[in-house]
Amino acid sequence: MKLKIQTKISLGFFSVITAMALLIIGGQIYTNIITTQARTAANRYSDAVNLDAKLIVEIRSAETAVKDFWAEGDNLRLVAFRNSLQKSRRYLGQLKELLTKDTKAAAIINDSIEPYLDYLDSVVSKGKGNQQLTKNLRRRINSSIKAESLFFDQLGAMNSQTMNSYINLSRRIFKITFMLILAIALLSIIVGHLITKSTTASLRILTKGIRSASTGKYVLIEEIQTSDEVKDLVIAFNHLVTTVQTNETVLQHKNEELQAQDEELTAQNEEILAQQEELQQAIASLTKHEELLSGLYKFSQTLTQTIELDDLMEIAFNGILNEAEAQIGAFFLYNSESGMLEMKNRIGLLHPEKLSNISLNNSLTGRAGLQKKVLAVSFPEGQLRSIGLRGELAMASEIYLPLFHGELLGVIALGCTGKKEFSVEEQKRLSSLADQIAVALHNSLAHLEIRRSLERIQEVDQLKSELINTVSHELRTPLASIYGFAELLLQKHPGETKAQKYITTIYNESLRLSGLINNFLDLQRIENRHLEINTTLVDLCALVKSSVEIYQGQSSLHDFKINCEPDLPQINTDSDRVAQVLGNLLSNAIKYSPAGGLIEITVYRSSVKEVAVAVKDHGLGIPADAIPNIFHPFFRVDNSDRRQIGGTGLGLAICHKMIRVLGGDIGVRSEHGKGSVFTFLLPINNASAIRERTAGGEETTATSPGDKLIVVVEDDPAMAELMEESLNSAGYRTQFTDNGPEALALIERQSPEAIILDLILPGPYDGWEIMRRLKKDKSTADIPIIISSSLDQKRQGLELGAADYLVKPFSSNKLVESVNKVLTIASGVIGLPGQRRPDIEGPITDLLKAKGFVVKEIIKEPDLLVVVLDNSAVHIGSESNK
Amino acid sequence: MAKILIVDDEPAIRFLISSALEDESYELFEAADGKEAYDLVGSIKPDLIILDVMMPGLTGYELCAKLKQNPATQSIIIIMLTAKGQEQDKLQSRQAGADHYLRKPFSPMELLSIINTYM
Repeated sequence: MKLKIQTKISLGFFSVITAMALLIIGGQIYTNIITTQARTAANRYSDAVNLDAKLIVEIRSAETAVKDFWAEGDNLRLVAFRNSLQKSRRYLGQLKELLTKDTKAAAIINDSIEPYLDYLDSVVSKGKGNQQLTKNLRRRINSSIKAESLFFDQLGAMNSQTMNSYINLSRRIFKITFMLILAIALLSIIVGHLITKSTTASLRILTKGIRSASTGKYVLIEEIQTSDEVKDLVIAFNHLVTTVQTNETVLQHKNEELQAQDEELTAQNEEILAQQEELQQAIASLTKHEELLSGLYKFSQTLTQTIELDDLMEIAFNGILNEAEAQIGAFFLYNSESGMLEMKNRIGLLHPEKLSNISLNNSLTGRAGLQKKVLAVSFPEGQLRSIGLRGELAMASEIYLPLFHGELLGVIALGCTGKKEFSVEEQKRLSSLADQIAVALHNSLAHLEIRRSLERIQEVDQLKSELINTVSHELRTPLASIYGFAELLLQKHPGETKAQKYITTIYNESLRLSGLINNFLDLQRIENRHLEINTTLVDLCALVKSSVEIYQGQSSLHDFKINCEPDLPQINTDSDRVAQVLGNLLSNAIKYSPAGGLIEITVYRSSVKEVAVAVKDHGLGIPADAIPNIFHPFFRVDNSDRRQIGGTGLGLAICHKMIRVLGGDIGVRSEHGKGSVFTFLLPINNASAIRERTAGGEETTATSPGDKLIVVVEDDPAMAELMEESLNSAGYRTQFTDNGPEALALIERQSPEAIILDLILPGPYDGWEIMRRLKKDKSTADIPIIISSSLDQKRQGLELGAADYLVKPFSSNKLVESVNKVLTIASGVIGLPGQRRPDIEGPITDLLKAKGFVVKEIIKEPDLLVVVLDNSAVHIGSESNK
Repeated sequence: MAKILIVDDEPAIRFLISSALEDESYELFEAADGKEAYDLVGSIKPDLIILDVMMPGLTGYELCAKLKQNPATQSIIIIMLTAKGQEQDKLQSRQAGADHYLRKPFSPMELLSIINTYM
């Protein structure tokens, strides 16, 4: 039962008070009762006493009466006695009624008094003049008086006893009450205590709880003894605590949340900070980039604005040195002709001379150029190394940047002392710079080339106008003579001798003029490939003889001697052209030995397949430095000793080209001041003239070797000898060389039918390079190339344009077979004699196509089918048919 | 008799000119190049020079200019011959100081009449 404290206390109080009150009241009542009782008792006593008194009176009276009776014998006394007895009895009876409780008294009454009365009663009548009785009576009166006083005492005693007991009782009551009150008080205290104990305990607990709550610890109060307001408080408190706890929990959660949020925020903040930092870094890097880019831009601007190669190389080199913060460096330009990297600029090199020319096959620089990849190395692999300040090798990380724009232009090598290595970023940056430089370089080189071309064109133009002037001059001069003398003849009518002289001059000059015109036109025709060749069998000796005859007449100062080797075979060639060449040489010989002298012409067999004609004079000779250019068009040796001689500079150029066209070669040996020997060789059987023929010619090519020239490029002399032997016994003419540049020169000069090309060669070019160059040059592009190599790179070879690919070792049969095959095709014309079917072109074309040939044209002749093939499209030995 | 110096590197031309002039009352001299001509001028002191333009070494223009600038030789009549046919040649001849200019092929009779005019 839920009791409010108030109630409890009230109750407590109430109960206490009630108890006390009850006690008090009770006590009071009891006391009252006791008092009443005591009073009653006292009353009784007093009654009793009264009664007793009365009794006594009566008794006395009775006694007296008796005595008097006796004494007297007065009935009135008897009546008085009876009266008194009756009254005494009455009084005794009343006393007895009163003294029911008091046994002693009652006993006395019973034992003494009553019997006395009885005695009296009994005696009254008898006692008249009885002395005994009167003695007894006295004795009885005495005993009765004793008894009566006893009784009275007893009464008194009883009364006092009773009173005492009442007093005691009331005292006891009082004590008890008092004690009870005390007890109650105590009890009430205790009860109160107890009552409040739980309450106080609860309160204490509550207080504790609150106190702890005030410190922040909110704990639920579990056990509550009371179920009063404290409980309510406790409940409320618990509620509060719960609420608080909940709140706390909520708060905690919120707090945690907040914390989490806070953490999140912090994290976010950190993130933001980090991002900010990143941003800043990015900005910084962007700024750096921008700077870099603007630097690069400026640099590239400067680069693009610089067109002069030297300036460009300077700027580029310095620029990239700056960018890389390099202290060592070298700038190489690639010379595609020599295939070498030439150092154009350098800084900080220890041994610059060691690096002045680098081949692509050597060194890191070369490798970078060859692979067209940036190479970065760190100490000590580099090659730019420089000695540090204290004399030991300083740490240099190096980077090799190829300058590549469509083709390799150069390589820049940079070295950074004190740096461990170029980072990937730096490499990229420098690489892009290098690309810029490459572009600028390319432009500059292109510009240079253009300028050079322009210059060359101008030169050529210049030369051409000079030529025209010269030609014009040269043409007009004999024309002037012809015209002049003709006029003189007509107008001056000279005498016969003079006239004869005049006419002779006219004649000679017109010849000269004609020769000049022919020369000039021929040169033009040769240049335009419109020269017509008519091959016949020619007796060179006879030709020489007749030419000499013509020229012999032109100069009296000179003696002509002809040496002809006996049994020389006739050669397949164009006699007019040979005569032209001879004429030129002879006229030169005459012109350039103005002092006269011997001019010797020797005709001999120079080799199995060739005949040579040598024209020797003892004239001015050719200075050594002019010899390389002597066959170039318009080239004239400009020395004081021959200023007078004049000429177009075309004669030898025409000879050279002519002889080449005829399948031969021309050369000169000369000593300045002593004379010159011009020798030209002609092949006995010249099938290459077919090259100059337009399609529709009648002749088939022989698939026989004829005297075709095969150039063998092979670095192993034993191998080369073997190949040459095989080819020679198959009837081919061979020439052999073991290195690239020589091979190229040889091929250009000789225009062989085919080339056997080894891939691995010493020197700057390998086989691939040579093939590339040959295919690039129009004049040699059509020459079929058979690659002979120990490596099998057949597909590559064929793709790059080789006509066939032989893998070493191969038999000589195979070689000859290959050459035969290649030449049959290379000649471009196949003759199929014999039968003729109306629609044979189709099947033939298909057949050839299947073999990998491309048919350009099919010409039907009466007994011949001429199939013209497209050389450039030939792929022999394609994968599909072995 | 007036002296005429014929300067041309081409013997045929020299022959032509001398043939054209031989019957006239002129003393004829020949030189094959500029240097020879210059030396000859010093020694023979000609009155007129027929000078070919295109010559190795000292060209006709140079020789002409040289002679015309030298007060000693200023008065010598110089007729230039050239095989080039352009306007600039005429101009150049004028600039060099030549008195006359003839293009090859020329008419020897014309040359003769010109010379006669000057002499």
